[in-house]
Amino acid sequence: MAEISGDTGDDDLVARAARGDGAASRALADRHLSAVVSFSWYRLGDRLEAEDVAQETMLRFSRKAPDWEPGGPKVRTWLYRVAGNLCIDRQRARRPEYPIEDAEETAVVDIQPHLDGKLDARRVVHKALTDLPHRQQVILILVYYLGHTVRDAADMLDISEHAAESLLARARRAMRAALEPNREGLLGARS
Amino acid sequence: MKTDSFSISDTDLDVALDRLEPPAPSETLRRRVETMAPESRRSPEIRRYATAAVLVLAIGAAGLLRLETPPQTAVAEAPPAQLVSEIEAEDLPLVDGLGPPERRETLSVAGLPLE
Repeated sequence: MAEISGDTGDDDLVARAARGDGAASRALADRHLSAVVSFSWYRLGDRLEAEDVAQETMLRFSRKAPDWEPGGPKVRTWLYRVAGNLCIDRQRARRPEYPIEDAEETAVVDIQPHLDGKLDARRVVHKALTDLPHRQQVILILVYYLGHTVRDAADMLDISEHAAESLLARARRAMRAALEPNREGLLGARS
Repeated sequence: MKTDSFSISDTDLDVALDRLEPPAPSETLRRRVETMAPESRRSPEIRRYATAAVLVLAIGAAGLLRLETPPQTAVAEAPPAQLVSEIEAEDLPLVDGLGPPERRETLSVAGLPLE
């Protein structure tokens, strides 16, 4: 069996993993797990939840592997789609249809300064990100944080490149609007 | 054309976005994922064969039970009054190895034909 290297394609690794090649399974995990955890973490803002989602995603992938069809969607795209759906499920479970009375209070607490008087900039930014509409969130995460090209992100979202560029611009504008009230704290809190 | 009136510039936004740093996968997660072996291609077939075998056995067992139960079922379905006062002719002891009379007539407890 050929050695696994950085040039070994994902489809090849999946086929080998499906035949019980443990090295191929490990290579796939090395290649994709970190990205799936990051993607889920940006979406959810919680490390434990992100790891749960990543684990479930990889488990589903391992079940899918024997039926994987080479030349179809990229492995990474498939993983993001599954992780994204799992994140949506969790976000829905968090947000009841009729918000609880504390919801507004919680939102205020989220952007309160720390006891030491400094704004918790990360929480503010994360809240602004997770409050974006689903597709804006995804494209910002894919392009800005995970380093995908707009074209790749467009493929993943199943939209045209032009639509993806427009969506990304809207996401950035929405982020700026959301962060505007905390501008001083955010920019002053640079470290 | 719509213009933005935010005091946060694109550069400021990048600075703010850069505050978020995702965690690396924990070792526990990494180990769990690395040991997730894809399911064998054969396993669904094996499961299907096993299910089929169980079904065949279940059907066979049900058939055997059914073969054994008809007389009991017939008795259970007979009206109680008939059981007490009447005896089917074919249930009478056979004489000289002859088969049961072809004409099935209902007899009284004393063995006399009823009307």
